[in-house]
Amino acid sequence: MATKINKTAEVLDKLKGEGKVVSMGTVQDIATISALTDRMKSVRRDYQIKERNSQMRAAQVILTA
Amino acid sequence: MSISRIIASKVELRSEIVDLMVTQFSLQKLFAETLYDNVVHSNIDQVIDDSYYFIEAPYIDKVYRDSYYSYFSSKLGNYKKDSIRLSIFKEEIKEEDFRNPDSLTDLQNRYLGFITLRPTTPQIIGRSIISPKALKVNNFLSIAGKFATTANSIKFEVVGFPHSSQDTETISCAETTLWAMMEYFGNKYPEYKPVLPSRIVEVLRIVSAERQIPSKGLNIQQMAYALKEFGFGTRIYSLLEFGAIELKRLFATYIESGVPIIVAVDNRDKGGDVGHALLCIGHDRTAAAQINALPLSAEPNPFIANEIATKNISFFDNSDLDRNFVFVDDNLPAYPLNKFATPTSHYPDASWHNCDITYFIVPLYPKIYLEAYEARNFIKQVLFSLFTIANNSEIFLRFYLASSRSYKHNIALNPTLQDDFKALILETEMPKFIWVAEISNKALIQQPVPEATGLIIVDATEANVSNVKPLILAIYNDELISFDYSIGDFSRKLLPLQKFSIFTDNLKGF
Repeated sequence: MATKINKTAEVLDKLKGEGKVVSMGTVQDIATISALTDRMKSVRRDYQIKERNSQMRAAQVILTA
Repeated sequence: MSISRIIASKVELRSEIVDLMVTQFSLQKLFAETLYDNVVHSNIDQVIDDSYYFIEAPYIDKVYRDSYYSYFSSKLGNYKKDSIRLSIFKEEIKEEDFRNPDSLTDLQNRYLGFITLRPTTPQIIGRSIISPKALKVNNFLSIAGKFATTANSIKFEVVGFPHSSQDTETISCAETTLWAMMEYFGNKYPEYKPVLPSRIVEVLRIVSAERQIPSKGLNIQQMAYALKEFGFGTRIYSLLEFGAIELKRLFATYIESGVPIIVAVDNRDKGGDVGHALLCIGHDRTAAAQINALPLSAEPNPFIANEIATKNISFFDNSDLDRNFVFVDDNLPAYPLNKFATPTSHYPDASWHNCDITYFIVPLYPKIYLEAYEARNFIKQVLFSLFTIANNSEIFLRFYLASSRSYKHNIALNPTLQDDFKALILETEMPKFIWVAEISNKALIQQPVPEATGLIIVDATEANVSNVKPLILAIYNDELISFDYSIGDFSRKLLPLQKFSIFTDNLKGF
């Protein structure tokens, strides 16, 4: 007889049964994730400029030695 | 013409090689002796003293033959087309060992790779693959591939990284690094193919205004373009844009990830005339003293810097470790080690010593859309935003890219990881590549088997960082954050986590 294995479901069901699972859909969590997203937008803008400039400058650097 | 086959000990090697250079390359004996002493000796000197050599000549080397037919044969000068091959073995070998099936396993265990010599004086070191096991000093971890080869008509395998000197005409440092990179990837992964020098010229023809041979080197953008054409999602990082601290962190991150990188070193802004390409493929083994000496991480992100200061968190970054990196340099014998800040200080010519690493090129798998700079920042934002970090905590962060296959294989067999969390990781759907951050502290990370107490896993194929989309799971301080399909959102689970041994399969020890 085939055996279905899903230990994740067993672990999560057990944790839920013990009241140890909390959704991150709370107002506070949504605000935290939104602020994190905003900070990452800034990181992305910073990266895009650095990456583009790196690429443009790279055309001027000849490696010969 | 029959093949000359010679067995020589390390001390007998010089006279045998000199004689072969005289007969095979038509060199004067004095010139051959000088070449051996100035060029070949340093490559042999670093090999263990109880090594033996099986020498074969003439040997047809595919890389030199490509250069010969595409360039050297078109000259007036009488360039020879054949090479000499030295196969390296640990301890004494005998001719009869190669003809006795019972001896072959022992011979394979003692096989340490090969060096070819080509008639392109004075740069005569050709395609070579030496196992780090062949070296007197090999206390390092590096990227290495398995290569099939032969010696005395018997098939062998060697684990190492391809190396060659530049011939300065068909391959300069730039083309040599591209060749070595593709030789490694082409032999290891079916997605890529090894390339020969003429193929590099062919690929770059469309972006070259002038003739390409004899080679005058390549610019970094051309090298990145070639890698893109060979199938990679190439990224370029520059010192001027990222700054010395962040550039070194990105450099160390990719090396910790087992990704070989092309490195540009330069001293022209300091009045020098060096612009050189080499490869970095590993780093030294981490010693407790290096961890203890690690300073607090200088955090550039204002939010994270504020969290660290406000809560008096001692935050350490593995990529800040003061360590030696393993390079592959076509001007030097295989596997030289040096610091990020002084990548050429071991050159005999002192005018090279003030070179800096000014750029590096990363050949990423094309579907790794989230590169290291954004991934590093994302992981730190997750740690400091979504988890409650106690005042006066100590955090040691180790961050790297891994294939989910290798990572899950390691996790599945990791005896220190508790069963419930192990099942959660192994049953979680993951892309081909993941970014992983292990959270530890200085005491745990310097254990004989280094350990961590937290983990963040991020999807390397998810470039959209809004709403923590790349996050696969994160666990720290007994709190697990992962996507919960039953509610269609992330959830927090209270799951005490025991310390576990870290993942070290990206780099190979010898």
